[in-house]
Amino acid sequence: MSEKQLILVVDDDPDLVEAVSMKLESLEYRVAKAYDGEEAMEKIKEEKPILVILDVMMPRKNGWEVCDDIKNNDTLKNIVVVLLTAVADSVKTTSYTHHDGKTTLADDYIPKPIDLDKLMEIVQDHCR
Amino acid sequence: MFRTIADSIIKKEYGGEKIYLPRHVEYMMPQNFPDLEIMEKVKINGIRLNKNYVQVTHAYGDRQNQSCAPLYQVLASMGINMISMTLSTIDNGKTFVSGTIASKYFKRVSRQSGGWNYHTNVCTISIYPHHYRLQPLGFLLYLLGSRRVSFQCLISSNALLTFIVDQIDCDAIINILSKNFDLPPSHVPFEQEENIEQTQFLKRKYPETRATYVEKKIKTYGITLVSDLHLCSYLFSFNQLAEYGQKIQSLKNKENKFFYISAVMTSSEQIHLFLLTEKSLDIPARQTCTAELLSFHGPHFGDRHSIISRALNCLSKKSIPVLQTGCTGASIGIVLPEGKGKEAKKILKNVFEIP
Repeated sequence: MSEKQLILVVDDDPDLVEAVSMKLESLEYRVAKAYDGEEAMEKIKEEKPILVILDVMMPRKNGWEVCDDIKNNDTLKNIVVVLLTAVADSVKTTSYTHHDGKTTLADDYIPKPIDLDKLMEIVQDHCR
Repeated sequence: MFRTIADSIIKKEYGGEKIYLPRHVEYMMPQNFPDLEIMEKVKINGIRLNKNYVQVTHAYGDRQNQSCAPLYQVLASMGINMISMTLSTIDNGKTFVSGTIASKYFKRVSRQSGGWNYHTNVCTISIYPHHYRLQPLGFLLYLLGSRRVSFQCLISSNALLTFIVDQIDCDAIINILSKNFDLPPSHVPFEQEENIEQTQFLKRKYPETRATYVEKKIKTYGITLVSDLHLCSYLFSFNQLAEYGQKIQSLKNKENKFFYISAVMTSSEQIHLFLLTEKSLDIPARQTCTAELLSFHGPHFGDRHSIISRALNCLSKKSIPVLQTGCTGASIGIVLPEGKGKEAKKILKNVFEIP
């Protein structure tokens, strides 16, 4: 039997983290949770998830910075990053310039409020 | 033995309203409770702290306050957000609303309202997640009761258990929680700090934050309805809280889940507690009934005013009775009589955007 794939869910809203985690667990994924950017980076380095569902506006370290840290790190850059953003209409591509000129290269994004079924489709596409 | 350093609540007048000043309580272990260190620790992922708030309470539905608009409506009209709120129908149709507002609004609110009570210098402390398990809930109640942690309100969401305490005691309480709950090694209690300059800068620069204030229809992650639940109401003194927490922890049916809790403490240290569970509890209650829970949350429910007011107003217009309402974090829970959930959900869908 193959080992369950690990997904890290990062959001400063514990209620959302729980809702997404329960859905992922029902699809047989293992789930790690983090509630701010710094905790997310610790979990990423420690547990090496296959995919990170990453909120943008968070305390301590925001999602753009976390995404930068992942994609600029040779050992972590293959981790899939799915950004959760409240303004998907204004995001024409997942490769966009933001946050004082930093370029954030996420693999995918989903608008907030998220449709959990749509998020699961995105996760399943990237985890195949 | 425990003892309180300043046991009586001090009241003073401010603009005609009662203000409850913080009590300074020394937390010591009463001898008649088991040592917490020998009890199994309950695993949680985090503790959250919000400082510099005022607890505003309003009871209406009796003769004295019959004509008053509910607190949530008045605050919504003033553009003031509540970071947590509980609404309970306590005795003979009397409704009790208690909301937590930022201290910066205190003077403004106290000038404009009548018949409200204020408890200044409070903070909210949340533990998460509870996973709907009665064990963390029972343990928290036991901890609060046995350590004489006097709280104003306790409210749950799908993940959080939040309670409101005097700010002067928050370090001691965080210490108690950190010591007695099983937390991840890297955990530090997260304290939400408002940096006004930074917030205004972010709102100007990033549509991510600005978008939340211009959306016409409030976004939610969806509205969940859970039916066939049991709502129990309890009334006991603060001295009995630890015993109640122990009873919750020692229930035979370990699979039973809770979906909602709210508890409010009166000035005479009586606790009105409402607990919504999947199956009925073996603990005799003052009142029980079958009920349904509508819960929903949104991306910015924690920092935007008038959401609870919109939800309750639209239900009131359609004469849907509400038994309990609580909000904390970014979630709202509304407890309804059995059979009213579907209709209420349909009404809310017209007011809120769902994916």
